[in-house]
Amino acid sequence: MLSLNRVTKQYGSFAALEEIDLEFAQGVYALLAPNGAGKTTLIKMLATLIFPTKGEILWNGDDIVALDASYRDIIGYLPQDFGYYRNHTPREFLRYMAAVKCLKRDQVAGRIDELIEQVGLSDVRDKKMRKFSGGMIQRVGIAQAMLNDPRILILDEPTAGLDPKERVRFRNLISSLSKDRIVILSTHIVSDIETIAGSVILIKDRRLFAQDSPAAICRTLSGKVFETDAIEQIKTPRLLLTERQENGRTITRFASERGIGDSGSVRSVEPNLEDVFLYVYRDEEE
Amino acid sequence: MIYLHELKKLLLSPVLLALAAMCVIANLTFLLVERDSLAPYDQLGHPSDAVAAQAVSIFEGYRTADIAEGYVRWYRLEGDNAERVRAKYEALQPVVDRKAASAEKPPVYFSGRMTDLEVLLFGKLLKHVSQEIGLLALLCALLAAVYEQMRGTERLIYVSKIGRKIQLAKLWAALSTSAALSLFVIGLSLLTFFVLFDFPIPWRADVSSVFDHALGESKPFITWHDLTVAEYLGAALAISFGLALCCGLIGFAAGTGIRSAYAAFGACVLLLAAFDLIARSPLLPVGSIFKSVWSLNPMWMWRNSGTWFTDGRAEVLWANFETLGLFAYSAVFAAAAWLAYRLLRRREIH
Repeated sequence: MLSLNRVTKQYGSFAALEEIDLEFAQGVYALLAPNGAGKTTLIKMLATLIFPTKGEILWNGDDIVALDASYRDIIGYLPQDFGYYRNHTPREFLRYMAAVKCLKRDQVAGRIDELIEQVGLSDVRDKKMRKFSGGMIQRVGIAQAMLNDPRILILDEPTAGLDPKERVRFRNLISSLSKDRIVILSTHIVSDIETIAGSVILIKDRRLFAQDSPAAICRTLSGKVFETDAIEQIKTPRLLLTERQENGRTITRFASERGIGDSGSVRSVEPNLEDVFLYVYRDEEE
Repeated sequence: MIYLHELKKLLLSPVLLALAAMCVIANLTFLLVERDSLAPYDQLGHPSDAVAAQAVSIFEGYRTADIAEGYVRWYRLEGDNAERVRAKYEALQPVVDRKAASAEKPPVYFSGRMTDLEVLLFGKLLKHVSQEIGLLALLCALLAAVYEQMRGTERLIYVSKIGRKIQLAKLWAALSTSAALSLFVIGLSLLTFFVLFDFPIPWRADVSSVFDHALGESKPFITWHDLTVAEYLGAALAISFGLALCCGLIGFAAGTGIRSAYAAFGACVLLLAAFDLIARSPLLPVGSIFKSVWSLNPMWMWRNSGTWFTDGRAEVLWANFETLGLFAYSAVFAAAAWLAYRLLRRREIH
């Protein structure tokens, strides 16, 4: 089990994260927060790129910084905007990554082919990566992260910059990789994790705001989310969430602390993660 | 295995290969230009025949104290500084006496001037080559150290099992690549020289006899140890390799310790410039210990490559200064490289 005990990260007088307590067992954990909320800081601490100012991060009771290479041996990491060797083919790049992960030479070739197949890059395995799309590069990235069959897979904004088709593909890929391991995924795109995350972690004001299943997180707004095609008639204090067009009408989704109930054009709806996200971070600038 | 990957990256680096090729081309051009400006070899005189007939035994009765007094007057030295210079040349006197007494390697070639070809090979080409391989080693180590940072792959690799220890593999790969490229530059440059010039070198003769006088000076070429010409060339190349190692360590320390590749390069340039400028600064009086220590730095060593294995003028106070300087500065730069590596292991990577 991976656990964070009162982890604080400070840069001078600025606190990026304060007193975070978390526990990760098997499954997909989604770190959901707006940009700048501290997701990447937390991810980087989990990857040992930066270190907690206070508190500790433990893997099965041992400090991950002290575990050093034996901890890094069990993690796979895909950073946001990760770099790669443009003149390498995926196979060459993965061979290099296998070397830095100290994998046994006789196991490497088979593992690389298997992963290239899994991420759907078999056709381009020997093509230079400089002409690859963002989605293809991300798939190379997930393949490198999976090379050592990690117990902990850490993905920092893995779908940023991908088109919708690639995002769906990537989501499915992560879902298929999540068996028997901890997957920690940071994102500010709700749809990325809505269907695959077993647990959602919300960080607000540098502190842990909530950690629960998506359904439980959504229940926190139960009875507070409504839809109407006549928003101008709603006089109670409200937070506009989303709008959509339906049969030529503009349907507005909003949240209100005061019970409005189904009346006239207003109907109560089941909150989704996006509603919660917009509601929780209503005061924060994107 | 990772060492081989890192080695391949550097050996196939277009920047390094182009630089090595440019060094060879520069040396070739230099030799061609020099060849056109040299008088035909027949007019230069052959050290083995015509000049030998006029040879004078320069070491017999020679007093090194005269060299010391010359420097004391020239630099207007006084007190301890003057005494230190005198002491060094006093220590050199037994060497001269030994050379004078040597029956096996008599100083037969002293003719008042060195041949232009000797100056070209041992004075100019060797200096150029030494500086070139130093520059190559510096850039090679710098490139190796900042390679992942420049490509954005740093975080991927630092989170892998090898982690930040990859810098050590990079250092070994950089030193190996530097050695390979140095051999390439030296080999082709010397080959070019010997192809262009039909120059009979008495390889087995004592270098103190073959070199009429110290390169670029009027005093005899007095080496602390007896060296044949072949040994001298080999030793000079060994010192050149050592200086290249120093430069490699500087490049590695800067590339590992400084986050920006450009800043790291700038720091290397500044350091080398500081070595040179401070060594030439009048603030450090000749004969002082600090001046002598400072003058062991790579830049001064390159500038004075013609004095290696000899007394090394008044700036340095110790025998075998080139070996001493090489070991001292290698140790300093190795410590700097190790410190930079330790800092990297603790540094936060954003």
